[in-house]
Order: sequence, then structure tokens, then C-alpha cells
Amino acid sequence: MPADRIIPADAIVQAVAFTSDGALVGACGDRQVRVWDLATGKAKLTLPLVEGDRVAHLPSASDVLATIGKDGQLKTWNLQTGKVGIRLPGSTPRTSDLAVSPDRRFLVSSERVAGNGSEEIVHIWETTDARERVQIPGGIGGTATIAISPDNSIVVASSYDANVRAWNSRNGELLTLIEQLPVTMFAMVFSPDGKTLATGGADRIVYLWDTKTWKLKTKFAGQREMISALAYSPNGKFLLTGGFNAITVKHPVDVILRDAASGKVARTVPAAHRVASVAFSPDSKLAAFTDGQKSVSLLNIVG
Amino acid sequence: MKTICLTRREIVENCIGRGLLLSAIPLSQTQLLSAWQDGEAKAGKPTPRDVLGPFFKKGAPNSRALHLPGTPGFPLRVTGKVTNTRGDKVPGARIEMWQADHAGLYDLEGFRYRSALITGEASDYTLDTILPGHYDDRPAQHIHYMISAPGHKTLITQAYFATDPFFEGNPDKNFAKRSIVSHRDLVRIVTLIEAPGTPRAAITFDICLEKA
Repeated sequence: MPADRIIPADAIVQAVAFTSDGALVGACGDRQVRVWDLATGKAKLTLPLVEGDRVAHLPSASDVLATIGKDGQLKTWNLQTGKVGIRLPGSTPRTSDLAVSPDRRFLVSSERVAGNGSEEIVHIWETTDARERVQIPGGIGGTATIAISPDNSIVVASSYDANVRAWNSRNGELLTLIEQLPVTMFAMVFSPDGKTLATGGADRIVYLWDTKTWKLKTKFAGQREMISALAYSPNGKFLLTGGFNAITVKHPVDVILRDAASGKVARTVPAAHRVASVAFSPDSKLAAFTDGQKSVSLLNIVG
Repeated sequence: MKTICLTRREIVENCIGRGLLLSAIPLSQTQLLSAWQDGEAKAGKPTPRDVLGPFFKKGAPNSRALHLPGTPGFPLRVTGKVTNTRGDKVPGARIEMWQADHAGLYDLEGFRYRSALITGEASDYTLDTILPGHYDDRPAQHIHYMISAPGHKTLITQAYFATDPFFEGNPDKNFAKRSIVSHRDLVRIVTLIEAPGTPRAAITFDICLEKA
């Protein structure tokens, strides 16, 4: 069954999220970030990014968007006002990924170590004064994705050498190194209660990890493609995954809605191409995904 | 004050010449200079790095024969040796290699066209595989490498093929096209050799590691 509603955009939508008041956000290929009023389907705010800025983080419901400039400068933007929050001049163009904490107090970025392209370093920056809180060795081969726990206490990064590391966000202490994954995890998200970390990647499996013991709780198979996007519904009931097939980018893929506890598939929705991003609305009644089109697809969530 | 910039070689040669650099074993200044110059001549530049990419998989078998008889693909033999920037052999180095099959697909279910070799005393390696296929996201044929050895920095790189149509017959000019290949030195000359009964492509891909 196709998506329930399509929101058209003037450019290809590369990432999608919801604001805290339920408006839809899309980072678009024309370097504009659009915020749509879902009652009218019309864009109510457009952020023109500086030439070279790329959107690196669109968290659900935190109203903060983070970008990496061509010169490496990291910036945060307030999605309610459209204004720039902080600028981090100390960062470099080697930054590969970043994430903003749910409490907006810190920002995590990852970059290649200068002069040694195989190793990655993870930085945690204070957003109040742009000071660097801590620097942590982040693994080999680059960071695929970063996630931050809902209580802001844990930072997790997945690297392309197929390892996942979790650190204490205050002091950078390594909490765990998950080495038993066979392949790279491209998408990671914490459950709303923070007790579970969901990861998905090249082997098409969703893994659920206990964030106290860091033991694997369970895993869900069934996605036909590699998993590129993952979201938990804010009420904790559902997991949404999107796939991609890097080899045949024109190949259609699936977006799968599951019961988060049992893994039972509640709905499978065809997507045109690679699913770059999935998100839930703050009330868990709506989900959105992007699949390389000039539009955002919406799903009504029942239950 | 005039600043004089000397290369490392000039500094060492000056030190030896002035008797400022001593050897633990009794050597004349001439012998010491000659020994040092020999060492420098053997030493090499580290192999350029390249990206790791999203398709690495842990647990590949220690197998040098990746091309199974009767399966598609143009046979390719890859040979090389592992040294470090001081020119020393690196026995016990672990060479992880992975590539797409003839159709441009990576095996993520199993370990087809994936290998983890360990160098022996000779510090060399041989892999019998196929020319990797092309795929949309990275249209230059390539083999991924991750090499680790005690006391050395882990190297992540890739080998490319000068015969690849991607380089339009001129890798010197076109290697930087679309920012896919990180360094010209990673594009290797391809020779055709006659294996018993069948032609086969061959490349040499020597690896030079940095000390940790």
C-alpha cells in the first residue's frame, strides 16, 4: 500500500523531521530547509543555507538543525525562528557527521584525524560558549552515524570498520565497544525511554541493544535492502526503517513499520529509491520518509 | 639571523660527517654514512590512504583463491609485498581485502570476494580473484584493503586499474575525476598473463606501512 499523503516540494528532499509543534521539516537539494504547515501543506518557513553548507542533523522534535559549512564551520539553526544559534569556528572541513543533544546543550561532531585519514576523532562541544568539552578517539575508517540518548548522558557512534562505541557524554569515558556486529551500522536511534539502542545497516537486520548491559536484546530480520534510516515513535510503540541498495540506486525499496517490542511488521510501504530519512511526529500519529523525490511521503500511524 | 633549512638527510649526513652521530657497533664514519644511505634507499613512502567504504565485513576467511571455477568474471592475480617506511619486511601483517563481483555487487550475506591474509616471513601475498565490476555509486573498479600489523598504523586504502574505462585511457589525467580515487599511485598497471589455457589479468600492489 502506498503512502497516505504526499507533500510536494520544489526540490529533492534529502532529510526529514518534525518540529516540537508537529510541523514537517525537509532539508532539500537546493540548499533550502523548508518547514511545512501540515494543515495547509504549504511551506511556512524557508531557511536559505549559505553556499556550501550541508545539513548534517535533523533531530526529531528538538527544533535545532545543524549544518557543516564548506569551510568546516558548524552551525546550529533554530527551526522556529530560522535564526542561527551557535557557530563553532574550531571545527574543520573534515567533519563527517554531527548530532545535537536533545537538551540542546551540546553538539557532537566527528572528523578524520589530520594527517592520518584512517582514524576518526569525536568532539563534544558546549553549545553555550562553543567550547570543546572533550575529544575522543572514534575508531577506524570514518563515522557512519552518531546518536545521543534521550537523557543526554550517552553518545554513540558507528564507524565503517563495523564497530559501535558508546561514551559518557560528560567526560568521554568509553562505556562499551560493540565489536560483534559483522558489518557497518548506517542508522542508530535510542528508544524514547533510553533503555534500548536500535541499530541497522549493511546486513539488513535491526539490532536492539540493552543500554545498561550493552547486551543484544533481540534482532529483527525482514528488510530486503540495507537499512539506511531508522526511527522510534515517541510513544515507544513503533520502529520505522527505510532501506537502500547502493548498487542499483534506481531499485525500489521498502519502508517498514514494526511493533517495537515484537518486531512484527505492521505495514510495508514501497519507496521509489534510497530512503535517506524517516521520522515520527511528536504525537506518534504520523510518520514521514524521503526517498530521493521532490516530495515527502506521510503515513498515518494507527495504534 | 639567517635561517637555514636542512632536510633530514642533510642533518644526518652532516652529523655523520662531523662525528656527531655514533654507532653502537664499531663503524668508520664512511661505513656509517654508507649504512644509513643504504637504509634510506630501501625505505619508502607510505601507501596513500583511501576511504573504507560501507561494505566492510568482519570474519573473512584466510583464502587466496577467491575465484571459484565456473563462476563469472575475468580472472585477476594480485601480488604484492608489505614493508614499512624504513624498508623492513612486515611478517604477520593482516591484509583484509574485499571487492564487488563481476556485476558490481558486494556479498554481505557470505564472504564471496572477501579475504583476510596473513603475511609470512617473506612478507608478500598473492590473491587469485576477478576484475571487480562497476557500480553506480563508485564507477571506478577497485579492491578495498585494510592492513594492520603490530607496531604499525592501520592502513585503509584501495587498488584501482589503469585499464578501467573510467580513466579513459589516461589515468595520469583522469585519476582525480569525480573525486573517487584519492591518489594517482593507487591506480595500477594491468598486465595480461597466460595462465595454463586461459588469459588472466595481473596487478602488483605493494603496501608500505607507517610505524605507529
